[in-house]
Amino acid sequence: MQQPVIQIFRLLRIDRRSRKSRYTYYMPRLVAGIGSIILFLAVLALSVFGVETPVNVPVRTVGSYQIGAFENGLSFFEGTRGQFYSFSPFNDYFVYPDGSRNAFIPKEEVDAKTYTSDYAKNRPQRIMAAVSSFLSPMEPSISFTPADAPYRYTYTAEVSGNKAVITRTTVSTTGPLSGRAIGLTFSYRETSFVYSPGGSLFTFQSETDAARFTQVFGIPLQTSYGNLRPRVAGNIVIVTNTLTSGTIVLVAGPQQRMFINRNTRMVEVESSVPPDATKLDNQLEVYVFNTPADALAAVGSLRARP
Amino acid sequence: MRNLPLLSLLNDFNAAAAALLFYLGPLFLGRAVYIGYTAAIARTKRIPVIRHHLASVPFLPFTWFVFGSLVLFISALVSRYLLLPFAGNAGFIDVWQVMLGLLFAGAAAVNCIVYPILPVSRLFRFSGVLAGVSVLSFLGYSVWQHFSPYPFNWDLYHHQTLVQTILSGRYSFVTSQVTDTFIFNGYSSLFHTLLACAQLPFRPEVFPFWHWVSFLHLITTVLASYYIAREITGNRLIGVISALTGAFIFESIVVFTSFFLIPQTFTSVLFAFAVTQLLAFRNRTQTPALRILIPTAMFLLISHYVMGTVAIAILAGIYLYYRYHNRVLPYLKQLWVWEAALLCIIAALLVSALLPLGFINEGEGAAYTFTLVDKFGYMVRVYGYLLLLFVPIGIVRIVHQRKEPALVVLLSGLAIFSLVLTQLPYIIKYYVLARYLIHTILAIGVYALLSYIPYTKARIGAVGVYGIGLIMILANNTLVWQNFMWYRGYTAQVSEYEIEAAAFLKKVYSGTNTLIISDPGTQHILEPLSGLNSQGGAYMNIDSRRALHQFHTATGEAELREALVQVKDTVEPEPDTRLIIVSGRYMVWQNSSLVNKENISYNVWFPHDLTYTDRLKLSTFYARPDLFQQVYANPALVIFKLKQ
Repeated sequence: MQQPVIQIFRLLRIDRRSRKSRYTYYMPRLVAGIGSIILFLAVLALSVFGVETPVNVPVRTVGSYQIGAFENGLSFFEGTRGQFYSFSPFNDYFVYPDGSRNAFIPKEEVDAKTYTSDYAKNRPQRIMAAVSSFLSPMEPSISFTPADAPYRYTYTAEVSGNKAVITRTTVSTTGPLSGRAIGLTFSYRETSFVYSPGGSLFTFQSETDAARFTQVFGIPLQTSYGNLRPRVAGNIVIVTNTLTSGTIVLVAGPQQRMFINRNTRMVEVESSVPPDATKLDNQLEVYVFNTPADALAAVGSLRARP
Repeated sequence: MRNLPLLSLLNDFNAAAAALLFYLGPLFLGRAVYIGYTAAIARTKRIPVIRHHLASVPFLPFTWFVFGSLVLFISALVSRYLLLPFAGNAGFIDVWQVMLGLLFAGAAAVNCIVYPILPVSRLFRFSGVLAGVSVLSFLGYSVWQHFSPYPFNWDLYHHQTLVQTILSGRYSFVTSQVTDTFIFNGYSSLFHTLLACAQLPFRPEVFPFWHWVSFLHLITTVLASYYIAREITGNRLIGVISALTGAFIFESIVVFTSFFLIPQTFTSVLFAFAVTQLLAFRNRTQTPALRILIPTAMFLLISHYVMGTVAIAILAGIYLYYRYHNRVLPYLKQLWVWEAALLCIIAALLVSALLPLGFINEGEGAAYTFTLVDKFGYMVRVYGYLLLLFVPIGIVRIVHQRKEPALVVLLSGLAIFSLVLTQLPYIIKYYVLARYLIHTILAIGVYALLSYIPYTKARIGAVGVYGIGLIMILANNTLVWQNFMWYRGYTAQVSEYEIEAAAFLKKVYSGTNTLIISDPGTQHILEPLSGLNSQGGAYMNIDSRRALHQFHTATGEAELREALVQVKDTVEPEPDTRLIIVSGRYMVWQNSSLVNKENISYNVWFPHDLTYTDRLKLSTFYARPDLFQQVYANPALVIFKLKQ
């Protein structure tokens, strides 16, 4: 037992040949020293703990837009313009063999807030997230666990330049995932023009609005009011918001099916659920361009992707 | 890992040289002037000049800087008001350049004759301190600028506008007479004269220059933090703790002491050095020299009238305390004196909340009136709980030890701090002066806990941990401040599109009598970057604001033209060309309420590109080719020329 104590004394350069007794002179100093270090560190930690923390860290920029985690999922937004485009488990859904569909987290559960998510990080985590964002670019990410289903949904954005790959990972903790298909949704605002590269307008704008759009950007749009959930041929859709500067292009993979749900104002991307799968990754590529013309010019190269 | 923007700026020689000249020019000139000044005094007292010059005043370089700055300012005033009327066709800059040439040539001669500058041992010691302080400053500035290539100092634009106006030949003691971007004469043109003098030979790019000069300013604030704490306590480690605090604590609201170079922060650094010098006189058992204090007081006053007045009051208080020490000290030992001081603070807090002071600096002043709860929120953002936890420990330590310089600083610091707590418009600005004193008390508090650690290396290690804690606070503070400013991959108040547009304006319209017309934010950014004139920049007057509002809603050709012609610059009322700049900022500003548009404190602080709705509005310009001619366009803005 004595050896470590002596080593500490040596470390502290305490002279053993001192005239005073080790225990009456050195021990109080040692205890005071260690005590004051602990007290100092505690006060310092408390001081740092008190600092105001930023919200939605990390935020990454994708062209003129930013993407960050919010209470309802991952959202694209542009500065303080108040226009949000969300990927959320409140909208994403399973499609069952009988054709019915269920939201990952149904409205009742959202209203009752019985689900859990890692959005509300505790203060030390928020402080460390802010510090970490200086050391390396972090990707926005958020996970949800519903109260009544054995699933966990994680949304992650991998950003490079004007492109973000949104990956949603669905994990079942008890057995295979239910449903024959699974839907990833992108909710858009009523201020948006959603159209295909060929100029088919999916949103309910008037002929006058479409003509104005053509006048401003030189891109002709054909309105249509029939089908409430049209399928998007080519799996590419362009979104131009009247209140933001950037134009968003969504590109789904060849194995996916893209629809525009005009009722709920959502782009829905469906993928099949393999039998017996307990974990499934679904991806959607999102690009941001300065203008619709830039977006259209780039569509050719986006289409060529496998 | 991102490239640090600061590193890329090191390549800009002109900017670095000009920024260094801002500090070294007055130092060089001031040393010569001070030697001459001292020689004149020494002649009357029969003291050898050099010995007297080197030994009698602590922190001499500070005094040189004050003297040099004053002489530069006087030289500009003499050139403008005495020599220019007799200079024929020569402009102000021509006359001032000749005068500067003569002054610096004379200074070079004097500085060469009176040598050495400082004893070698002191130079070595100072170099070590400077190197350490520079490293800390670089770390702090790198954290603050990590996400942005552009400086965040919103005020730099209108200061740069004034500097450019001086360099184009218009000069006055009164800032508002030089350019209408200044509507409130809170300071003389001393600060801008020094900047103009630094930019005159190098003509640097705006952003690299302001990065460099802000970085050097940070170094001076950290140096001031180190020296004031070391001088008060005689303890280098407390100096280091204070320097760490100075490097990594940034008051990101109203105060802006360390990372932004503006007249109030410039004044505060010199105040901190003045306090240090005053205490150093006392520590060396010398009588503080009035021949030094009076020019310093003059300097502080003209560099910022309000801040300078409070700074002078504090300096005068310290001076009088030392002068009449024996008479004052018995009172300070009386409990009732302290009770009365405490009651005064409480009364000031209560009365200030009740006084109807909204009329003071109406608009902006009202926007910067904060309650105690607001101030607590800002304190938490800037310091975490550092002030709450370490300052009381520091106060207890100071009161317990009863060392005179620390007690003086405690009283001065708390006096300004209690002023800051009152609910008066803009009062929080005074923290720019209190900061150095409060940080010293904080450093004493930190050291109070560390002093019980018997092992020196462990103590130094603990100081290192303290530095890491401060960096964590700064990282959070930085993100809280900048997180809503993301724009195309970085955080900023200015966009590359705006910089490109300014370059276009400079290239095509430089040297012409052109007025740019846009929202206050766009004008504020483009005026200094392009060198063209605007009506008031961000401080556009109420008539212009109303005219611009009318322009947005006007439909007829005559109405549109009339609205634009009503925007009249007070210095250059009849421009040859009017350029209307429709930017994303402009559209956000135009779409806000009339109350906001008329409010001087309302600005669109960060860049916005043009949206679809904005472009729809632009089509009304294109529909009138007889009135508007597009001369430039990019995704953030379109510039139209108003046809005659």
